[in-house]
Amino acid sequence: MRTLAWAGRRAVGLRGEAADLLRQAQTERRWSNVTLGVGIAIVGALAVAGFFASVIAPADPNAVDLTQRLLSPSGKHWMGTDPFGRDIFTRTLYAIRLDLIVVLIITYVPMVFGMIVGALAGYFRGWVDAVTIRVIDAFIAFPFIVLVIAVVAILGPGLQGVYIGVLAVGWTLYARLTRGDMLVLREQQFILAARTLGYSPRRVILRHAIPNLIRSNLVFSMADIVLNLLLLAGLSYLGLGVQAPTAELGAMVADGQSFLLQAWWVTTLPGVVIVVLGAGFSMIGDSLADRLGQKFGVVG
Amino acid sequence: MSAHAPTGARDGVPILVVAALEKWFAVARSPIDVIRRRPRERVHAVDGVSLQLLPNEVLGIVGESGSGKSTLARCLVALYRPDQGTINFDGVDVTEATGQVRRDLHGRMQMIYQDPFTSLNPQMSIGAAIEEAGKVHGREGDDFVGDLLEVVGLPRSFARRRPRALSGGQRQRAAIARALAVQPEVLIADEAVSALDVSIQAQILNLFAQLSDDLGLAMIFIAHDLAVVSHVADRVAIMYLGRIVEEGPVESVFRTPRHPYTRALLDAHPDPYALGAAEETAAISGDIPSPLDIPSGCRFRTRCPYATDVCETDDPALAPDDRPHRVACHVLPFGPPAEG
Repeated sequence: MRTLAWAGRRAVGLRGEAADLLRQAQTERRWSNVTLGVGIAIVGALAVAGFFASVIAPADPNAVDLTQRLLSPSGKHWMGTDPFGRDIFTRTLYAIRLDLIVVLIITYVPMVFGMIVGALAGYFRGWVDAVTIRVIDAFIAFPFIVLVIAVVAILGPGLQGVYIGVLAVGWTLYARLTRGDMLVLREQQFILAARTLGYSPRRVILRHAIPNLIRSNLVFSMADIVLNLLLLAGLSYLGLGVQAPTAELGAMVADGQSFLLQAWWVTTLPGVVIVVLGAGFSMIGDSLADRLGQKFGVVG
Repeated sequence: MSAHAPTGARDGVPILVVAALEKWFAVARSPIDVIRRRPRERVHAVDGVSLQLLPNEVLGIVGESGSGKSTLARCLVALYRPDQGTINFDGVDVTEATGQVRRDLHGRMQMIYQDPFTSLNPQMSIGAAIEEAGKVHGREGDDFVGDLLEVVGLPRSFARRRPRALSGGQRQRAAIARALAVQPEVLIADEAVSALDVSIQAQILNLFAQLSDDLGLAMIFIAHDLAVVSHVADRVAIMYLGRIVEEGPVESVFRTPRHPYTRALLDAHPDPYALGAAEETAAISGDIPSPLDIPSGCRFRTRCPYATDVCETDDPALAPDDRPHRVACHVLPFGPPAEG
C-alpha cells in the first residue's frame, strides 16, 4: 500500500506506458478498497442490526395478530405484516441474526475440519492420501445441494439436519484445496528443513504448514459463505431448514409466496435482504481475494 | 557454544560412513505399460556411493546437475530412504532410525538448503525459528538465539524480523543459525551458496570455513562449482551419474586430476589450481546421459575422448580403499595418482 502510494507520486515523473500501467494498478487497488469498505459496511450494519434485534425491534417476532394481517409497509410496520399479522421488520432482524450465526458455523467448522484432513493427506501421501482423495471424489461426484437435502431428509427437517448435512459434505472442498497446496508446500525447503530439524509431523503440520495454507482457505471461505447463505435460505424455503414459527429469511420468503399478488412485501423484502447480505459478503470476498491472492499459495 | 562436545569423535575414526548407497526413483507407467507388463523404469539417482567423513573434516562433493548430489544429501539426513546400502552415523544406522533415535540423529546432523528464499518459514520470525529448533532439542531459555545470530554475523536485533525483510545472504546466515541451534556435529550444505551473488558467496563460504574451525564441525559441502569447493573443502569427491569417479585431498585432485571427467570439469572452469597444468585435453561434449539409461561399462565413456573397448564392457571400480587419492578409470590418460 505504502509502496504503491509512493510509486504513484513517482509516476508523475514517468511517461507513457509505465505511467499508464501504474495508474491502472492504482485505480484497481482503489476500487478494491472501495469494494471492501462497502462490503464491510453492508455486512457490518446488518450484523449489528441483527445482534441488537431485541433492542431495536419494535415488536415480538412471533406475536400473531390476525386483525393486522398483510398490512402494507407504513410508519408503524416498516416492512408491513405477514399473513399472521407479525411485524416483518422485527422478524427480518431476528432472521438476520439466526442466518449469520448458522452460516458462519456451517462455513468455518467444515473449513477447519477439511483443512486438517487435506493437510494430513497431502503431507503423508501414500494410502492416507489415496483413501482421502477417493472419499472426496465420491462426495464431489454428487451435486452439493442434493447431498445435503438427502442428509436432511434422513435426519428430518430442522437446523440439526442442516448442520450435519453441510458439515458432512462441505469439508470436502476445503480438504481438496488444502491437499493440493500441501503437495506443493511439502517440497518447499522450509518444510524439508523442519523435517531435518527433527520436528514431529504434528509440529511440522500445525506450526509450519497450516499457517501457510490458511490464506487460500480463507479466500475460498468468503465465496463459500455466500453459497451457504443461499443454501440455508433455500432449504428453509423448501421447509427443510429452520422450522416455523422461527424467523428465517428463506422461510419468510416462502411464507408470502401465495400472497404475492396481494402483498408483494411479504416475499420481496426478506428476499432483498438476502440479496444485499450476499452481495456484501461477495464484495468482501472479492477484494480479500485480490489482496491475499498476491501472496496466495505458498510459492515464492 | 562451549557445550559443543562431539561425543563419539576421535581423530581418524569416521563419524559418517556411507557404504554402497543406492537410491532410485520409479518412473510412473502409463496404463498401457502396466497392461503390457513393461517393467517400471527406474532413475538411478545415486548408484553405489561409498564415502567416509572424519570429525572436523570438510568433504566437498562436486558434480553436474543430475549427478545425484542432492539425492545423496537427502539420503544422509533421512529425508529419502535409500534402496540399497547403509549410512552409519557414529554407530547409528540412519536408514533404520525412527522416533527418538531419528530425532537425536537430527540433533547431531543438520542440513543447509540451497534456496535461502524458501528455506525459512515466511510466517515465522528469525528468532522464533532459531528458538524453536533449540527448544525441540532440549535447550532452555532464549538467550542462545542472540548468541547464534552473532556467531553467523547477524545483529541480535534481527531476531524479530521476518525472512522477507532479509536479503539472500542474510537469510542464508539465519538458516545456518537455525541449524546450529540444535548443536550439530555434522553440517551438510546442499548447494548452500549457489543461489547467492558471487560477493555474498565469498562471505558465506568464509562463515562455513570459520564454523568448521571454531566449532569443530564436520561438513559435507555440495556444489557444482569447483572454485567454491576448493575454497572450503579438505577432501573432494567428484560425482558423475550417481557414482563417485574420483576422490582425494582437494589439492591433489585439483592439481593432478586423474579422471578425464575431473580434468574436463577443471578445464571448463578457470580454476587457480588447474592453471599452468594446461595440457591439450579434448573438452567433453554433450549432456550427462539420462540416469534412466546408464551406459554399460564405464558410465563416462559416452563423453570420454579416451574411451577404449574395455570401457564399454567393464565398470571401473574406485579402488583401493587405503589410498588418499582414488580414481575410477581404466585408461588413466594422465597417469595414476601419486602415492601417499
